Amino acid sequence: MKKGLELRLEGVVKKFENVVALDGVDLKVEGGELFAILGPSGCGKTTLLRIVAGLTAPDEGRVYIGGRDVTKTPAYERPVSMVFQNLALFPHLSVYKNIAFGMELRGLDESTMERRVSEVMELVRLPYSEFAHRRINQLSGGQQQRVAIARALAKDPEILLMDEPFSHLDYKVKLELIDELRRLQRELRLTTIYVTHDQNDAMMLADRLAVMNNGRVLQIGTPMEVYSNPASPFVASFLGEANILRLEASEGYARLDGLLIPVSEEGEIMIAIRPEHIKIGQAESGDQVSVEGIVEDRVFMGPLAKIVVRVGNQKLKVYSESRIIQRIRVGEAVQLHWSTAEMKVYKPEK
Amino acid sequence: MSQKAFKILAYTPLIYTLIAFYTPLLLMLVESVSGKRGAAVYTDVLTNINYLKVVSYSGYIALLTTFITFLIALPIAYYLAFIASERLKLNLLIAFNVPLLVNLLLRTYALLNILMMLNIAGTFQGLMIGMIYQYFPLMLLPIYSSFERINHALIEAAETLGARPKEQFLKVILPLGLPGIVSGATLVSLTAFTDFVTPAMLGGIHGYTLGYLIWDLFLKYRNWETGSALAFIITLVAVAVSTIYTKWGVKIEA
Repeated sequence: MKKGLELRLEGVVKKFENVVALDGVDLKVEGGELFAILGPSGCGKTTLLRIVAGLTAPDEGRVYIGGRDVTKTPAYERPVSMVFQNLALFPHLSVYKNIAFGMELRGLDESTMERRVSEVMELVRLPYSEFAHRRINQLSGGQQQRVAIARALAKDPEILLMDEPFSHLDYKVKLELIDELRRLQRELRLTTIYVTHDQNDAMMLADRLAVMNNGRVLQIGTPMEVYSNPASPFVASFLGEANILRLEASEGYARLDGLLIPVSEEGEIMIAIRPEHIKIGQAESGDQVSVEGIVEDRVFMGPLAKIVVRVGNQKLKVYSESRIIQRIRVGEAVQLHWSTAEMKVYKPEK
Repeated sequence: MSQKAFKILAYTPLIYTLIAFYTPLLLMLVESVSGKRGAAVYTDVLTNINYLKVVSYSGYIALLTTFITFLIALPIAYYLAFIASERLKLNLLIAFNVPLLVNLLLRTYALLNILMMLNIAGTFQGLMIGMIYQYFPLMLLPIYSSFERINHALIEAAETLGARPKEQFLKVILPLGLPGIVSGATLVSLTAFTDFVTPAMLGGIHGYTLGYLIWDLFLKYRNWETGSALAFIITLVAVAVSTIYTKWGVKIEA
């Protein structure tokens, strides 16, 4: 069975006037992989996607698709499709004409086009007879999204690029489309690159992901790897929630507001600990850190709930099962514990 | 209270406009049928071969003006909307529009001087240069503003789907810019059709257009009913064309 081609970026740099959008990006996406690029707005992720599509030219560096250097290849000759953030469906054309747009340019005959359009509409679960001849403005947001994906698939690309395509949809519709995208991607084995600022989307979708900030790739790995072993405090707090503590360490301990944390580092350090790794109540064996604080806030989140605990000048977020947190009142004093094995220690970034 | 105030503010100029436009039109209609011939003046006008010649000559000039200004405006509008930097765009738009701030007669006299220096005043060529100069901004602005409204992502989407620059223009920009093109063409062809000053001043013997004919009928031959009838017919045609355009334009925008 056919599989999408591999994508490789080497030392890609892009500046706009004096703003550095991409600051030397190296990236390899395997053929057939669903790869997410995650980062805050302005981190360069959309620029990266546009460089892969050929819509923006890099100042330095090279782009390879399936081993072939396409850095100088115009967008209209690359084996790449893109689903745009605002979808960019042609308002003057029907659903059918939108999807067949590329095929019409290549001068395919009507019966071939019809077959292909109904094929891709079936892939995205839009009934041909019902939707093919509607106008774009007669569709719901979710349906428009499906048309945009169908149009990108009709070209039979090697690489599918998606620029935050689900960001403006209702939560439920988004979840449904994310499931469908996973199914589609498994069926077609397309190399897919999905750009988003939403950590949940990225974690749910991706085989692997890259976290970006300030035009650089900070970490690449499976969602699980990056989540459980973040390379920096930024990654820890961007992918999932994390308590980040800045403290001074000496003689095997870091001290802060009643906290006494055993560490091997010296000097200024940063500690990241995930809210679900902090336990409430009695210490268990292996918990080296223990502290008392006052509950300031309580937030119900479904099966889990969150409390915010003040410890001196610090605030710690703690997740636990809702049935446990239910019993805790705001203003109450609680004991918190964690194991040093669960926390990450970093030297502060300059 | 405020709603009522706004209503008055909106309706006062509207009523003024309606009176100022339709009263003369009505007077013209009354004038045209007040002669000995009565309503038969209209059949006389419509069957007068010499009038029809002047009318079709005016139509020819109007269509030629529309066509040439369209050919010039299209690439300029494209450049302004998609290529020029914001700053350059602003400067060029101002440059194209400043001449419109100068009084029509002064502008035409200035051009007449240049045409005389070039020795083409009073020729058909000179007339057409004047017409194109006069009507070019009316063609450019609507086309430019409809191009300007096109979402650039649509052009990029076409590009990623395999459209070369020429195909992007023909398949996306042109169809989406169509309302502007139609409105520019309507504006130019209607006003050029009934223009009087430019052909009369620059065209010499080639400038005998519809406007000139009506002027002659009124002021030279003192044939008020025929002049009125002709003017009334032309106005009706103009209203009909712009009504069709407005209805059609609304339909394609939707």
